[in-house]
Amino acid sequence: MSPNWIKQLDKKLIGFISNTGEALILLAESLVYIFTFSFKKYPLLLKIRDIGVGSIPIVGLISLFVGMVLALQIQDELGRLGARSLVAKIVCVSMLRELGPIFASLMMVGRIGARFTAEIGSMQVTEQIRALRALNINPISFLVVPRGLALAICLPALVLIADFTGILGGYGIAVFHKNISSSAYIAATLDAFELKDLFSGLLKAEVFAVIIAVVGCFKGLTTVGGTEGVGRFTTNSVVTASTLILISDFFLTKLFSLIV
Amino acid sequence: MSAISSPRRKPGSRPEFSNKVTGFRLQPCRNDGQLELGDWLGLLEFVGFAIETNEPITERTLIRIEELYKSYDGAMVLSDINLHIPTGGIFVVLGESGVGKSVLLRQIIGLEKPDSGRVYINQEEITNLREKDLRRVRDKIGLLFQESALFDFMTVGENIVLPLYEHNRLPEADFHARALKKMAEVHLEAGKINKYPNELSGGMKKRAALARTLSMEPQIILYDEPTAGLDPGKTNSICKLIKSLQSDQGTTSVVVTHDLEAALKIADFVAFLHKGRVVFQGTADEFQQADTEIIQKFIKGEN
Repeated sequence: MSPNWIKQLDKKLIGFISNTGEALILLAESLVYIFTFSFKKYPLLLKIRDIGVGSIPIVGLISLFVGMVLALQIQDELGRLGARSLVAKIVCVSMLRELGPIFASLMMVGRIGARFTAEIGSMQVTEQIRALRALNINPISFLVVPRGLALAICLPALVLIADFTGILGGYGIAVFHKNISSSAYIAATLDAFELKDLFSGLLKAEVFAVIIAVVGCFKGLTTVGGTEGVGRFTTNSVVTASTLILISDFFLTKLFSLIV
Repeated sequence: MSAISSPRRKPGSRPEFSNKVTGFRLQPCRNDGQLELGDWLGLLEFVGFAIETNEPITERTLIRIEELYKSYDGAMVLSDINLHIPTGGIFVVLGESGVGKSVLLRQIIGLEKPDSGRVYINQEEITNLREKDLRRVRDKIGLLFQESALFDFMTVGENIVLPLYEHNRLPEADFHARALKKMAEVHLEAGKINKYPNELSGGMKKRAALARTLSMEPQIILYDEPTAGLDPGKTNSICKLIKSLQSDQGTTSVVVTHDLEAALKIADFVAFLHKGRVVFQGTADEFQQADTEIIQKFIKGEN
């Protein structure tokens, strides 16, 4: 007789492997629908409006403050070292490579990933998903594909906005608070700007979009336990997606450093 | 005798007998020419002898369920279910709450696979069909859910035409007219077309969900507790609606309910489910006269 904790661990491990497999199957099925254009365009446009346009203010605001805080934090330290001219470069590179994609994606986990799980989970516990299948409507093409595709289109665009507003925040602090010359700051930013940094950030955003969409929709589709279950699965979805984003960010950063 | 076809036999093949009334096909499985007991029974039937079986398979049988078992997490919900649901008419599956009535409907429409056993729709076994092939079968079947299961982010009109939109069955210009037509069929006011489900009463939700079910013009309609949670007046009107749809459109209706009064108002045939097993199958009159203790207790409300 194996101890109870081994049985528990065994059960959790099997559950983890099974869930991962099912989530990957969901991703594969969704990709088939996307690449065979087996989905309706109108719901996709509506989702782009909801996910993308609706998220611009919050992503812009958060990134503006991230850029401002970053500039504030490094300004004095670099000043002591006599390297205040590096502020613009550090803000630019940090926003493009890391902070823009990460903050925009974490915002989308909270705003959109949670919403995917709550919406689809509520449909699951009220038999609406079963109703779709009874009406011969595939829940993946009807629910998952428009959401996932809209997020995959919108998140890189939101990251661009986050990059821009973050750099703008850093500029504001440097120029208006620390009296660094505006032209010097802009020149240093342009000097630090590299397309490879921008694209590595956008590529990360694309991977994060897939993580948010798959986790959000998968957790929704597997929701059980009534309305209490919807809350539990939504929380779980946010925690899982955030964790996966941060873990995958490390590996993506390592990968880009090896490639470029 | 006109209903009985001639035995067909190609040179060298095994004899085959079939009866158009019973749908019985006889083809001895042995190659040595020796007929087995079942073959002789079929032969006797072919030559005109009436053979009594417990569950005759007839051409009128639209849905056939054989030896079906279904369990969840080791708990048996449906056990050795054998049902023959005839074409046309209203077939009511009665039973207390939690005996597996809704689970049975999900097996019929192929939303869930049984642990073992077979479900036939129009003589076609659906239990082993893949999801892709099941869609063809589900085209003929509509399911009204207990809680209506209307999509809450859509209006009533959008709910009704959604299947048509998704399957490109109708030009978009005709959606409004089709939605109004289906709403009229279920006696739902046209003014509700732009309302959201949360703005409707329980009875209206059932009607809207039924209109959505009817939009695909199914041959079979499955009703899961259609009168649950409704007051006596609304229960009565839903019963009338089920009957009128059946008589006007000639659909086959399968209704699962624990509401005895409603069941007896509409039922042509009744099956009684107890602890996951079918303990009675017959006409509504036979059900009321059944001397089984469980059924009498159910009728008297003593369970």
